[in-house]
Amino acid sequence: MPIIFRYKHLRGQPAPFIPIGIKIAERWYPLEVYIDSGAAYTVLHAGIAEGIGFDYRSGRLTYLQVGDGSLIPVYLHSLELQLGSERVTAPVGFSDKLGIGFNLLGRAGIFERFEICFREKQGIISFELN
Amino acid sequence: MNIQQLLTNDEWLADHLDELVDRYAGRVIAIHQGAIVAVGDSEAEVYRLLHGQDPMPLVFRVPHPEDLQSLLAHANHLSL
Repeated sequence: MPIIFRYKHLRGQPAPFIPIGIKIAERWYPLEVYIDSGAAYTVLHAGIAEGIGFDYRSGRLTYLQVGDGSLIPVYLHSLELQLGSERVTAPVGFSDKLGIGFNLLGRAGIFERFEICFREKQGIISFELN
Repeated sequence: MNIQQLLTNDEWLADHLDELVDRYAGRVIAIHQGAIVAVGDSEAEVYRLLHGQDPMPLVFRVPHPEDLQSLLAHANHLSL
């Protein structure tokens, strides 16, 4: 049974924002993220970690390339995520240099676990366990 | 994690996104049971306002309409 999310519409333009839960220090935090198949990792604004008192800089530091060719630092942690009724563990990065206004749901730990279908005409995104 | 509550908050967000963009573009909001319960300039500020709240509301960074275009230029190349 696939997990179904509705597309959001921003000024009539479909945008694949979906709700997820992220577990940090034994507590679940509901967030809205933008599904980005071009992103290697799920990357969240560091302010999330700062606001809940999570030492994100203790994670594994890597650098991701963004559209203008520059590299941004990202600290990766293995965290539990909730998508619909399913829970998965995936690498999640935090960065204080994420230069866009969204939190991103990227490929690692997610796209190999689910078959994800973007059905814009139907206004839905489906996640089916592989 | 209360899935039903998460989906209910998400449905409310989907139904009100344009209004939220009109009023809060560029800011971070927290949604709970059909209401905005916290607003801040960053997630850090909002989570500090929500400190101790249980269950935790749905937190959303409200985009500007043009952000979707910049996303195509920037985030789709977020890779190693």
